[in-house]
Amino acid sequence: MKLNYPKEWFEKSALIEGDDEIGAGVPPVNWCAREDEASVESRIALGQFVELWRRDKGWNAERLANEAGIDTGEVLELEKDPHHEPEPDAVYKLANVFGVSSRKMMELAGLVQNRNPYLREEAIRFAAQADSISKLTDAEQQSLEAFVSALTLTN
Amino acid sequence: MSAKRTMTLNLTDREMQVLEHLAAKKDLSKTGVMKLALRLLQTVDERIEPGKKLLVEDEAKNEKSELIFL
Amino acid sequence: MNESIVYLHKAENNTFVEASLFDQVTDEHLAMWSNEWVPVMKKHVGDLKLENAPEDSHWDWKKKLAEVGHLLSYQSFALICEGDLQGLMIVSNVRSAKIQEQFGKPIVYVEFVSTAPWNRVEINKPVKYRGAGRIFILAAIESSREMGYGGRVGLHSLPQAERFYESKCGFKRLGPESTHQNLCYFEMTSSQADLFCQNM
Repeated sequence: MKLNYPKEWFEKSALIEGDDEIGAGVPPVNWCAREDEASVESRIALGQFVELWRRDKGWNAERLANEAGIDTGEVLELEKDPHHEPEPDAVYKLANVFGVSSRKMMELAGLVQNRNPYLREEAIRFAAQADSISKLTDAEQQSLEAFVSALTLTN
Repeated sequence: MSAKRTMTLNLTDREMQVLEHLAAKKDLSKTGVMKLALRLLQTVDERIEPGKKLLVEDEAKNEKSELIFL
Repeated sequence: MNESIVYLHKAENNTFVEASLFDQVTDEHLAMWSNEWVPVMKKHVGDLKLENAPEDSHWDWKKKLAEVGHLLSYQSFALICEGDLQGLMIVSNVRSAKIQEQFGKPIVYVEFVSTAPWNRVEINKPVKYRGAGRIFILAAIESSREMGYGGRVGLHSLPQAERFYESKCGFKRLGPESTHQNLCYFEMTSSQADLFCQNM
Protein backbone atom coordinates (compact mmCIF):
# COMPACT_ATOMS: atom_id res chain seq x y z
CA MET A 1 0.00 0.00 0.00
CA LYS A 2 1.45 3.33 -1.00
CA LEU A 3 -0.05 6.77 -0.44
CA ASN A 4 0.24 9.36 -3.14
CA TYR A 5 -1.24 12.59 -1.84
CA PRO A 6 0.16 16.14 -2.14
CA LYS A 7 1.61 18.02 0.80
CA GLU A 8 -1.42 20.33 0.81
CA TRP A 9 -3.67 17.41 1.68
CA PHE A 10 -1.69 16.68 4.85
CA GLU A 11 -1.49 20.35 5.80
CA LYS A 12 -5.26 20.69 5.67
CA SER A 13 -5.73 17.30 7.35
CA ALA A 14 -3.49 18.12 10.32
CA LEU A 15 -5.39 21.33 10.95
CA ILE A 16 -8.67 19.41 10.89
CA GLU A 17 -7.28 16.89 13.39
CA GLY A 18 -5.91 19.43 15.86
CA ASP A 19 -5.09 18.02 19.30
CA ASP A 20 -7.75 15.31 19.28
CA GLU A 21 -7.08 11.92 20.85
CA ILE A 22 -7.13 9.19 18.20
CA GLY A 23 -6.80 5.84 19.95
CA ALA A 24 -8.85 2.86 18.79
CA GLY A 25 -8.84 -0.81 19.69
CA VAL A 26 -10.17 -3.16 22.31
CA PRO A 27 -7.89 -3.63 25.32
CA PRO A 28 -6.66 -7.20 25.73
CA VAL A 29 -8.48 -9.55 28.11
CA ASN A 30 -5.80 -9.28 30.80
CA TRP A 31 -5.61 -5.50 30.56
CA CYS A 32 -6.31 -5.02 34.27
CA ALA A 33 -2.80 -6.14 35.11
CA ARG A 34 -2.74 -4.12 38.33
CA GLU A 35 -4.88 -5.64 41.00
CA ASP A 36 -6.78 -3.04 42.90
CA GLU A 37 -9.41 -2.84 45.58
CA ALA A 38 -12.23 -2.97 43.01
CA SER A 39 -10.92 -6.24 41.50
CA VAL A 40 -10.62 -7.89 44.92
CA GLU A 41 -14.15 -6.85 45.91
CA SER A 42 -15.57 -8.19 42.63
CA ARG A 43 -13.71 -11.47 43.01
CA ILE A 44 -15.01 -11.91 46.56
CA ALA A 45 -18.51 -11.61 45.12
CA LEU A 46 -17.67 -13.96 42.26
CA GLY A 47 -16.28 -16.57 44.65
CA GLN A 48 -19.35 -16.42 46.85
CA PHE A 49 -21.61 -16.59 43.81
CA VAL A 50 -19.87 -19.72 42.54
CA GLU A 51 -20.08 -21.34 45.98
CA LEU A 52 -23.72 -20.47 46.60
CA TRP A 53 -24.79 -21.49 43.11
CA ARG A 54 -23.32 -24.97 43.46
CA ARG A 55 -24.56 -25.39 47.05
CA ASP A 56 -28.02 -24.47 45.84
CA LYS A 57 -27.70 -27.39 43.43
CA GLY A 58 -26.37 -29.64 46.17
CA TRP A 59 -23.02 -29.99 44.34
CA ASN A 60 -19.57 -30.09 45.82
CA ALA A 61 -16.66 -28.31 44.12
CA GLU A 62 -15.57 -31.45 42.30
CA ARG A 63 -19.01 -31.96 40.76
CA LEU A 64 -19.14 -28.37 39.53
CA ALA A 65 -15.63 -28.70 38.09
CA ASN A 66 -16.63 -31.88 36.24
CA GLU A 67 -19.80 -30.29 34.87
CA ALA A 68 -17.81 -27.29 33.60
CA GLY A 69 -14.88 -29.34 32.35
CA ILE A 70 -12.30 -27.53 34.48
CA ASP A 71 -9.94 -28.38 37.36
CA THR A 72 -11.41 -28.76 40.83
CA GLY A 73 -8.49 -26.65 42.05
CA GLU A 74 -9.62 -23.77 39.85
CA VAL A 75 -13.11 -23.88 41.43
CA LEU A 76 -11.68 -23.90 44.95
CA GLU A 77 -9.27 -21.04 44.23
CA LEU A 78 -12.07 -19.00 42.68
CA GLU A 79 -14.27 -19.51 45.73
CA LYS A 80 -11.63 -18.93 48.38
CA ASP A 81 -8.89 -16.64 47.07
CA PRO A 82 -9.87 -13.18 45.76
CA HIS A 83 -6.23 -12.51 44.85
CA HIS A 84 -6.18 -15.48 42.48
CA GLU A 85 -6.52 -14.47 38.82
CA PRO A 86 -8.70 -17.19 37.27
CA GLU A 87 -8.14 -18.66 33.83
CA PRO A 88 -10.40 -16.92 31.25
CA ASP A 89 -11.34 -20.33 29.87
CA ALA A 90 -12.52 -21.53 33.32
CA VAL A 91 -14.67 -18.42 33.86
CA TYR A 92 -16.15 -18.81 30.39
CA LYS A 93 -17.04 -22.48 31.03
CA LEU A 94 -18.56 -21.71 34.43
CA ALA A 95 -20.71 -18.99 32.88
CA ASN A 96 -22.04 -21.58 30.44
CA VAL A 97 -22.95 -23.94 33.28
CA PHE A 98 -24.62 -21.13 35.24
CA GLY A 99 -26.40 -19.82 32.14
CA VAL A 100 -25.20 -16.25 32.71
CA SER A 101 -23.31 -13.70 30.61
CA SER A 102 -19.70 -14.81 30.14
CA ARG A 103 -18.60 -11.24 29.62
CA LYS A 104 -20.05 -10.11 32.93
CA MET A 105 -18.41 -13.03 34.71
CA MET A 106 -15.13 -11.96 33.08
CA GLU A 107 -15.65 -8.44 34.44
CA LEU A 108 -16.25 -9.77 37.94
CA ALA A 109 -13.13 -11.91 37.63
CA GLY A 110 -11.12 -8.81 36.72
CA LEU A 111 -10.17 -10.28 33.35
CA VAL A 112 -11.74 -7.53 31.28
CA GLN A 113 -12.18 -3.89 32.09
CA ASN A 114 -15.23 -3.14 34.20
CA ARG A 115 -17.63 -1.08 32.09
CA ASN A 116 -20.76 -1.81 34.07
CA PRO A 117 -20.74 0.28 37.24
CA TYR A 118 -24.11 -1.18 38.29
CA LEU A 119 -22.60 -4.69 38.13
CA ARG A 120 -20.01 -3.79 40.72
CA GLU A 121 -22.72 -2.40 43.00
CA GLU A 122 -24.75 -5.59 42.58
CA ALA A 123 -21.65 -7.65 43.35
CA ILE A 124 -20.92 -5.73 46.56
CA ARG A 125 -24.54 -5.98 47.68
CA PHE A 126 -24.57 -9.70 46.98
CA ALA A 127 -21.28 -10.35 48.79
CA ALA A 128 -22.48 -8.46 51.84
CA GLN A 129 -25.61 -10.59 52.11
CA ALA A 130 -24.09 -13.98 51.38
CA ASP A 131 -22.71 -16.16 54.15
CA SER A 132 -20.91 -19.48 54.08
CA ILE A 133 -23.07 -22.04 55.85
CA SER A 134 -23.80 -25.42 54.39
CA LYS A 135 -27.47 -24.86 53.53
CA LEU A 136 -28.78 -21.72 51.84
CA THR A 137 -31.08 -19.61 53.94
CA ASP A 138 -34.15 -18.03 52.35
CA ALA A 139 -32.32 -14.71 52.36
CA GLU A 140 -29.29 -16.28 50.64
CA GLN A 141 -31.61 -17.91 48.12
CA GLN A 142 -33.23 -14.57 47.25
CA SER A 143 -29.88 -12.89 47.10
CA LEU A 144 -28.54 -15.56 44.77
CA GLU A 145 -31.55 -15.29 42.46
CA ALA A 146 -31.23 -11.50 42.26
CA PHE A 147 -27.54 -11.76 41.40
CA VAL A 148 -28.14 -14.38 38.71
CA SER A 149 -30.67 -12.01 37.24
CA ALA A 150 -28.13 -9.18 37.24
CA LEU A 151 -25.58 -11.39 35.48
CA THR A 152 -28.11 -12.51 32.89
CA LEU A 153 -29.69 -9.17 31.92
CA THR A 154 -28.44 -7.90 28.57
CA ASN A 155 -27.02 -4.50 29.39
CA MET B 1 5.92 -3.93 -4.44
CA SER B 2 6.20 -7.72 -3.97
CA ALA B 3 6.21 -9.93 -7.10
CA LYS B 4 2.92 -11.64 -8.01
CA ARG B 5 2.42 -15.16 -9.30
CA THR B 6 -0.45 -16.51 -11.36
CA MET B 7 -2.47 -19.65 -10.74
CA THR B 8 -5.19 -21.36 -12.79
CA LEU B 9 -8.12 -22.67 -10.80
CA ASN B 10 -10.52 -25.40 -11.98
CA LEU B 11 -13.90 -25.31 -10.24
CA THR B 12 -17.01 -27.44 -10.55
CA ASP B 13 -20.23 -25.76 -11.69
CA ARG B 14 -21.46 -25.77 -8.11
CA GLU B 15 -18.25 -24.26 -6.75
CA MET B 16 -18.34 -21.57 -9.43
CA GLN B 17 -21.97 -20.78 -8.55
CA VAL B 18 -21.00 -20.36 -4.90
CA LEU B 19 -18.03 -18.19 -5.88
CA GLU B 20 -20.17 -15.98 -8.11
CA HIS B 21 -22.86 -15.70 -5.44
CA LEU B 22 -20.31 -14.68 -2.81
CA ALA B 23 -18.68 -12.20 -5.19
CA ALA B 24 -22.03 -10.50 -5.77
CA LYS B 25 -22.95 -10.59 -2.10
CA LYS B 26 -19.61 -9.22 -0.91
CA ASP B 27 -19.23 -6.78 -3.80
CA LEU B 28 -15.87 -8.31 -4.64
CA SER B 29 -14.31 -9.76 -7.76
CA LYS B 30 -14.04 -13.56 -7.84
CA THR B 31 -10.33 -13.15 -7.28
CA GLY B 32 -11.09 -10.94 -4.30
CA VAL B 33 -13.31 -13.64 -2.81
CA MET B 34 -10.62 -16.30 -3.22
CA LYS B 35 -8.02 -14.05 -1.58
CA LEU B 36 -10.40 -13.30 1.30
CA ALA B 37 -11.02 -17.01 1.76
CA LEU B 38 -7.28 -17.66 1.85
CA ARG B 39 -6.72 -15.03 4.55
CA LEU B 40 -9.61 -16.33 6.61
CA LEU B 41 -8.45 -19.93 6.40
CA GLN B 42 -4.92 -19.06 7.46
CA THR B 43 -6.18 -17.04 10.44
CA VAL B 44 -8.60 -19.70 11.65
CA ASP B 45 -6.16 -22.54 11.05
CA GLU B 46 -3.64 -20.78 13.25
CA ARG B 47 -6.12 -20.47 16.11
CA ILE B 48 -7.69 -23.92 16.05
CA GLU B 49 -5.42 -26.20 18.04
CA PRO B 50 -6.32 -29.63 19.44
CA GLY B 51 -8.85 -29.23 22.22
CA LYS B 52 -10.16 -25.87 20.99
CA LYS B 53 -13.39 -25.06 19.15
CA LEU B 54 -14.61 -22.24 16.99
CA LEU B 55 -17.94 -21.03 18.32
CA VAL B 56 -20.68 -18.74 17.09
CA GLU B 57 -22.21 -16.78 19.96
CA ASP B 58 -25.60 -15.12 20.14
CA GLU B 59 -25.11 -12.85 23.13
CA ALA B 60 -28.73 -11.72 23.17
CA LYS B 61 -29.95 -15.28 23.62
CA ASN B 62 -26.85 -16.39 25.55
CA GLU B 63 -26.47 -19.23 23.08
CA LYS B 64 -23.32 -20.71 21.63
CA SER B 65 -23.02 -23.22 18.85
CA GLU B 66 -19.99 -24.84 17.33
CA LEU B 67 -18.91 -23.69 13.88
CA ILE B 68 -17.84 -26.81 12.08
CA PHE B 69 -14.44 -26.26 10.59
CA LEU B 70 -11.61 -28.35 9.31
CA MET C 1 7.54 -3.01 2.51
CA ASN C 2 6.43 0.32 1.06
CA GLU C 3 7.34 3.80 2.28
CA SER C 4 4.99 6.73 1.65
CA ILE C 5 5.93 10.36 2.11
CA VAL C 6 3.44 12.19 4.34
CA TYR C 7 3.55 15.38 6.42
CA LEU C 8 2.93 16.22 10.07
CA HIS C 9 2.35 19.60 11.67
CA LYS C 10 5.17 20.47 14.05
CA ALA C 11 3.60 22.60 16.77
CA GLU C 12 6.85 24.09 18.10
CA ASN C 13 7.51 26.22 15.02
CA ASN C 14 4.16 25.90 13.23
CA THR C 15 5.67 24.16 10.18
CA PHE C 16 4.85 21.02 8.24
CA VAL C 17 7.63 18.42 8.30
CA GLU C 18 8.12 15.42 6.09
CA ALA C 19 7.39 12.00 7.61
CA SER C 20 7.41 8.40 6.40
CA LEU C 21 4.56 5.94 6.64
CA PHE C 22 5.70 2.31 6.38
CA ASP C 23 3.16 -0.42 5.58
CA GLN C 24 4.94 -2.92 7.80
CA VAL C 25 6.11 -2.58 11.40
CA THR C 26 9.68 -3.79 11.76
CA ASP C 27 11.77 -4.85 14.74
CA GLU C 28 13.44 -1.45 14.54
CA HIS C 29 10.07 0.27 14.95
CA LEU C 30 9.26 -1.95 17.90
CA ALA C 31 12.60 -1.10 19.49
CA MET C 32 11.66 2.58 19.14
CA TRP C 33 8.32 1.85 20.80
CA SER C 34 10.04 0.08 23.66
CA ASN C 35 12.78 2.66 24.15
CA GLU C 36 10.86 5.86 23.43
CA TRP C 37 7.13 5.42 24.15
CA VAL C 38 7.11 2.98 27.05
CA PRO C 39 9.24 5.04 29.50
CA VAL C 40 7.20 8.18 28.82
CA MET C 41 3.93 6.31 29.24
CA LYS C 42 5.12 4.55 32.42
CA LYS C 43 6.11 7.87 33.96
CA HIS C 44 2.74 9.38 33.07
CA VAL C 45 0.72 6.42 34.34
CA GLY C 46 2.78 5.95 37.50
CA ASP C 47 1.04 8.69 39.42
CA LEU C 48 -2.45 7.96 38.16
CA LYS C 49 -5.26 5.78 39.47
CA LEU C 50 -5.93 2.75 37.28
CA GLU C 51 -9.25 4.10 36.02
CA ASN C 52 -7.61 7.39 34.95
CA ALA C 53 -4.74 5.82 33.01
CA PRO C 54 -4.95 6.11 29.19
CA GLU C 55 -6.85 3.12 27.79
CA ASP C 56 -3.89 2.03 25.69
CA SER C 57 -1.20 2.63 28.30
CA HIS C 58 -0.62 -1.10 28.81
CA TRP C 59 -0.71 -2.13 25.17
CA ASP C 60 2.20 -4.35 24.28
CA TRP C 61 2.88 -3.72 20.61
CA LYS C 62 5.65 -6.32 20.48
CA LYS C 63 3.22 -8.98 21.66
CA LYS C 64 0.52 -7.83 19.26
CA LEU C 65 2.84 -7.99 16.27
CA ALA C 66 4.23 -11.36 17.35
CA GLU C 67 0.67 -12.74 17.31
CA VAL C 68 -0.48 -11.40 13.95
CA GLY C 69 2.52 -10.09 12.03
CA HIS C 70 2.84 -13.24 9.92
CA LEU C 71 -0.86 -13.52 8.99
CA LEU C 72 -2.20 -12.37 5.61
CA SER C 73 -5.33 -11.08 7.30
CA TYR C 74 -3.41 -8.40 9.20
CA GLN C 75 -1.35 -5.44 8.11
CA SER C 76 0.71 -3.10 10.26
CA PHE C 77 1.82 0.49 9.81
CA ALA C 78 4.49 2.68 11.42
CA LEU C 79 4.85 6.45 11.16
CA ILE C 80 8.33 7.94 11.51
CA CYS C 81 9.17 11.63 11.65
CA GLU C 82 12.52 13.27 12.35
CA GLY C 83 13.95 9.93 13.42
CA ASP C 84 11.27 9.09 15.99
CA LEU C 85 8.27 6.75 16.00
CA GLN C 86 5.11 8.85 15.90
CA GLY C 87 2.37 6.24 15.52
CA LEU C 88 1.51 2.55 15.12
CA MET C 89 -1.49 0.78 13.63
CA ILE C 90 -2.62 -2.79 13.00
CA VAL C 91 -5.59 -3.46 10.70
CA SER C 92 -7.33 -6.67 9.71
CA ASN C 93 -9.11 -7.40 6.45
CA VAL C 94 -11.47 -10.30 7.19
CA ARG C 95 -14.27 -8.54 9.09
CA SER C 96 -17.64 -7.52 7.67
CA ALA C 97 -19.55 -4.26 7.60
CA LYS C 98 -22.45 -3.58 9.97
CA ILE C 99 -24.02 -0.47 8.45
CA GLN C 100 -27.22 -1.64 6.75
CA GLU C 101 -26.40 -0.32 3.27
CA GLN C 102 -23.17 -2.33 3.19
CA PHE C 103 -24.03 -5.09 5.62
CA GLY C 104 -21.87 -8.20 5.27
CA LYS C 105 -19.41 -6.67 2.83
CA PRO C 106 -15.75 -6.95 3.82
CA ILE C 107 -14.07 -4.00 5.51
CA VAL C 108 -10.65 -3.07 6.73
CA TYR C 109 -10.95 -3.01 10.51
CA VAL C 110 -8.58 -0.97 12.65
CA GLU C 111 -7.56 -3.42 15.36
CA PHE C 112 -5.29 -1.00 17.19
CA VAL C 113 -3.99 2.52 16.56
CA SER C 114 -1.97 4.79 18.81
CA THR C 115 0.04 7.95 18.53
CA ALA C 116 3.26 8.62 20.45
CA PRO C 117 2.77 9.88 24.03
CA TRP C 118 4.33 13.27 23.22
CA ASN C 119 1.63 13.80 20.58
CA ARG C 120 -1.18 13.47 23.11
CA VAL C 121 -2.50 16.53 24.88
CA GLU C 122 -3.39 14.55 28.05
CA ILE C 123 0.30 13.63 28.42
CA ASN C 124 2.22 16.48 26.79
CA LYS C 125 0.93 20.01 26.36
CA PRO C 126 1.47 21.41 23.80
CA VAL C 127 1.71 18.28 21.65
CA LYS C 128 4.79 17.83 19.49
CA TYR C 129 3.21 16.75 16.16
CA ARG C 130 -0.34 16.87 14.85
CA GLY C 131 -1.98 14.88 12.07
CA ALA C 132 -0.99 11.25 12.70
CA GLY C 133 -4.56 10.09 13.28
CA ARG C 134 -5.94 11.13 9.92
CA ILE C 135 -2.84 9.78 8.17
CA PHE C 136 -3.60 6.35 9.62
CA ILE C 137 -7.25 6.55 8.61
CA LEU C 138 -6.13 7.50 5.10
CA ALA C 139 -3.87 4.44 5.09
CA ALA C 140 -6.75 2.22 6.24
CA ILE C 141 -8.99 3.59 3.47
CA GLU C 142 -6.34 3.10 0.79
CA SER C 143 -5.71 -0.46 2.03
CA SER C 144 -9.44 -1.07 1.83
CA ARG C 145 -9.53 0.23 -1.76
CA GLU C 146 -6.51 -1.89 -2.68
CA MET C 147 -8.31 -5.01 -1.37
CA GLY C 148 -11.36 -4.20 -3.47
CA TYR C 149 -13.39 -3.17 -0.41
CA GLY C 150 -14.16 0.30 -1.76
CA GLY C 151 -12.64 2.22 1.13
CA ARG C 152 -14.90 0.70 3.80
CA VAL C 153 -13.31 0.93 7.26
CA GLY C 154 -14.50 0.07 10.77
CA LEU C 155 -13.12 0.49 14.30
CA HIS C 156 -13.95 0.56 17.99
CA SER C 157 -12.95 3.94 19.34
CA LEU C 158 -11.43 4.50 22.75
CA PRO C 159 -13.80 6.79 24.69
CA GLN C 160 -11.71 9.95 24.45
CA ALA C 161 -11.36 9.59 20.65
CA GLU C 162 -15.05 9.24 19.73
CA ARG C 163 -15.40 12.88 18.80
CA PHE C 164 -12.39 12.62 16.48
CA TYR C 165 -13.81 9.70 14.50
CA GLU C 166 -17.31 11.10 14.22
CA SER C 167 -16.66 14.80 13.67
CA LYS C 168 -13.15 14.96 12.26
CA CYS C 169 -13.15 11.83 10.09
CA GLY C 170 -16.80 11.43 9.14
CA PHE C 171 -17.40 7.92 10.45
CA LYS C 172 -20.93 6.82 11.24
CA ARG C 173 -21.41 6.02 14.93
CA LEU C 174 -23.19 2.71 15.49
CA GLY C 175 -23.01 2.66 19.28
CA PRO C 176 -21.37 0.72 22.11
CA GLU C 177 -20.95 -3.05 21.72
CA SER C 178 -20.91 -5.36 24.68
CA THR C 179 -18.77 -7.82 22.71
CA HIS C 180 -16.03 -5.20 22.66
CA GLN C 181 -16.06 -4.02 26.24
CA ASN C 182 -18.78 -1.50 25.44
CA LEU C 183 -16.49 0.54 23.23
CA CYS C 184 -18.34 2.47 20.55
CA TYR C 185 -18.22 1.03 17.03
CA PHE C 186 -17.72 3.38 14.06
CA GLU C 187 -17.88 2.54 10.38
CA MET C 188 -17.25 4.36 7.13
CA THR C 189 -18.97 3.74 3.80
CA SER C 190 -17.27 4.07 0.41
CA SER C 191 -18.90 7.49 -0.07
CA GLN C 192 -17.69 8.66 3.32
CA ALA C 193 -14.22 7.38 2.47
CA ASP C 194 -14.29 9.39 -0.76
CA LEU C 195 -15.21 12.54 1.17
CA PHE C 196 -12.43 11.87 3.67
CA CYS C 197 -9.90 11.54 0.87
CA GLN C 198 -11.05 14.88 -0.47
CA ASN C 199 -10.44 16.34 2.98
CA MET C 200 -14.09 17.24 3.32
